[in-house]
Amino acid sequence: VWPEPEAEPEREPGPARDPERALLPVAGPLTGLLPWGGLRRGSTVSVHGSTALLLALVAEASRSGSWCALVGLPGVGLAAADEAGLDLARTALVPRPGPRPASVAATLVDGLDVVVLGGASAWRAGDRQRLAARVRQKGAVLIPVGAWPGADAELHATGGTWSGLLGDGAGRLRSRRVHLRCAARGRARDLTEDVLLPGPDGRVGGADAAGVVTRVPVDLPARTG
Amino acid sequence: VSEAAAAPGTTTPIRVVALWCPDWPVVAACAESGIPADRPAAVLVAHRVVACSATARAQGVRRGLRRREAQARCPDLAVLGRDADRDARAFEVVAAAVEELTPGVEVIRPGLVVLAARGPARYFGSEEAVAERLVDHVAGRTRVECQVGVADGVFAAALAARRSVIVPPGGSPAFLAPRPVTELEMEPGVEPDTAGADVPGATARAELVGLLRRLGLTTLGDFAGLPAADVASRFDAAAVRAHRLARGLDERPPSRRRVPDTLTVEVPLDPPVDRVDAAAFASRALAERLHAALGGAGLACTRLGVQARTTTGDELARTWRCAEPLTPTATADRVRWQLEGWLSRRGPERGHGGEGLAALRLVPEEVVDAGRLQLGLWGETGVADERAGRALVRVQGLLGPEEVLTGVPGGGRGPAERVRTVPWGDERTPALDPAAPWPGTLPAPSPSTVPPAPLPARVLDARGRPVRAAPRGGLSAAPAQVAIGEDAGSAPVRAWGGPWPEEGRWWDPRAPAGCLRVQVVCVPPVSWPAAGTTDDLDDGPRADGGDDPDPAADLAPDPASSSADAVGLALLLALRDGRWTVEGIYD
Repeated sequence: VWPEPEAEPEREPGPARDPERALLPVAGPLTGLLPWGGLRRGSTVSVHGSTALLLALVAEASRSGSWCALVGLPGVGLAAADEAGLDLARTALVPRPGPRPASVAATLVDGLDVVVLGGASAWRAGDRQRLAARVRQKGAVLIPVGAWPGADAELHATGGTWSGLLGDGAGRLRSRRVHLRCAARGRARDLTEDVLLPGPDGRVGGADAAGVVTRVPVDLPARTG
Repeated sequence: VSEAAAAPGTTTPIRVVALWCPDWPVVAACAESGIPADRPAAVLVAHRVVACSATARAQGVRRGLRRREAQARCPDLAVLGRDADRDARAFEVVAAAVEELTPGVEVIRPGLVVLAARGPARYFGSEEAVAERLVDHVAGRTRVECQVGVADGVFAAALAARRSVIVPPGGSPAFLAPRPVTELEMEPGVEPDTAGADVPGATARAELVGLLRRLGLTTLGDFAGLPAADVASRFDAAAVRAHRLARGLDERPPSRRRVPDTLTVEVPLDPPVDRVDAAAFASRALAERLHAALGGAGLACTRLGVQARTTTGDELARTWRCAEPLTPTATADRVRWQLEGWLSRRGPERGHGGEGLAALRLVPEEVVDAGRLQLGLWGETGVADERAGRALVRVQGLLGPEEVLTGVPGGGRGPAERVRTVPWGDERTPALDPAAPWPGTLPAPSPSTVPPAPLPARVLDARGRPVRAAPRGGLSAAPAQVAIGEDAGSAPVRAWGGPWPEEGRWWDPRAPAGCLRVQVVCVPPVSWPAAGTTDDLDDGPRADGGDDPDPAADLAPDPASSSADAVGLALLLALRDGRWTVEGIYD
């Protein structure tokens, strides 16, 4: 079931040990939440409650040249991913990872920088631990969607206040203010922050800009009736 | 003519080098039957001459002569039968000789090859030099006389080759104008001596030429002077094509040469291979052989067919497509993964290990010039890219090539339309032009979840009646309640926007109907399958609040927000053919 682990010398200077490349960048509003100020290679960060959060978390790394895979997420909106800033040319989609998702994920972890994993809540603990160990060894970043016991950090998005709809059909959805909470291993207190997710341009934005940007009714799409 | 020049599709055709071997059926027949080149010879079909050698022509033999008359004019005429296979077989040597000098050769028919002039002309210095080199090289390699012509477009180049001239760029119309209209019969592909007298295009073209002469149009210039619209309205499509040719236009650039069958490599596996490591060993050697063959022909493979025969006689085949030409290692990898896939799939399912692969064959199904394989000096294909590519191809080996996708942003209106997914490794071309205006498209942000199949929904107005489309792209009433699924509970709409109409292509009966799109913000009840496609995203803004102790605290309006702000889950709904669906979820 599990692919044969390749005989790899333990002391190979893998990307995880290379301090220059040990951290994948994340968008500005999220840097303060994560314990390392970015996505540390070899770590596992689980995401709860929002696909937009998932895309925002991966976008900056993808834009700066990392390879990403979205596994087991048949419903992810690619137009939103594009707007969030992912480079779709370097983003692979495996919507149906088949009967052995663990081996698919392990193969992807071997070669890609960020592996987003959907539908993994039902995995056996052994599969999870083996994959996490492989992620650490290969220096990838694993982002499971939903519950993943043993994650290095957990990001939760709750609430959702949309702005842009002006009443009686006028306006359009422009941005959403959500409440993010990040729990990290070894950190006593959860950090929280309000962000715009998605912001008016589709990317994640700082919540302090909300009052300015979102209520200017410009460039409404053509509307009749 | 000026009107015609402004018409669409009248761009100047590309420069083409044509290499023509005169009287090819005779040359090929003489070579095969050992007749010396100076003896008059002719190829006859149904007792009529279809081709004759230059010496025979000097003695008065002409095409179309009856056999008896030809032999009367030239008593020692060697009479040869027609054999299209022989012509093609013998011509392969010539095509290969041309290909030794320059890649991208297209064989129009035995006796005539064309190639794009730009590359060779730049490489050898000038078009004259190309012509000279080609004639020398073909004569040296194959002892076949040939003539070379260069012009804009295949037709003009073929005629130029018959006269061994180089037509200056843009000079094709002037070159063609004084030629008699009968030259149209010489168009490559419809000329009468290619396959006997029974080419339908040839008879049609001969009729057209006869008609033109009766109309008093004796030169190609006369014919070209007719307005294109008049030709189209009075003649058939074939005549329109001929008219384009007479004007020096050309529809079709020379495409790549068909992949020769000799490039297929095959290895019998004896004893049959039923273990992956043995298969890997065989595949490596076979990949090396394939690349030696491809390299000899100056080609690189972009689409590789892997075929195998099992001991029970089953044929297995799978084609691997690649965006970049395959290297020997990449080929060996793909063959090994394919064999692994076949062997591991057959093992557990069939339940007996005795069945193995008895033969293995690699077929290059699509090839490009080897020059495209040359790696960039600074390593454009970085180490990380190569590593990722290998991992993804490996997953394709596990799941099948269609299960690893990549998105290509393009045009379109709906959130699912705007990014097309293509299998990994395929060419990334958008389905719809992203630069075109797409009225009715909603600007960013787009829904972050797009259900693979739209979820059925119900939208009710304040009095509980279904909301319908109203004339002029409106709604019958403002949406007040939304429910996803047929019998799920409904949720009150907190805010809504729209409708934005998409007209659809009403003139195309097969195109999907137009629709109205509406954005709503609502607080979904627990019973909804909403966002049910991603059941892990379950602690979103639901009324039950997930694991948060006080859902009301989350959903309470932010004190700083205005009355225009709406708390809840935003949906993109579409009304199409009277039915509401959820097209996207902004989660």
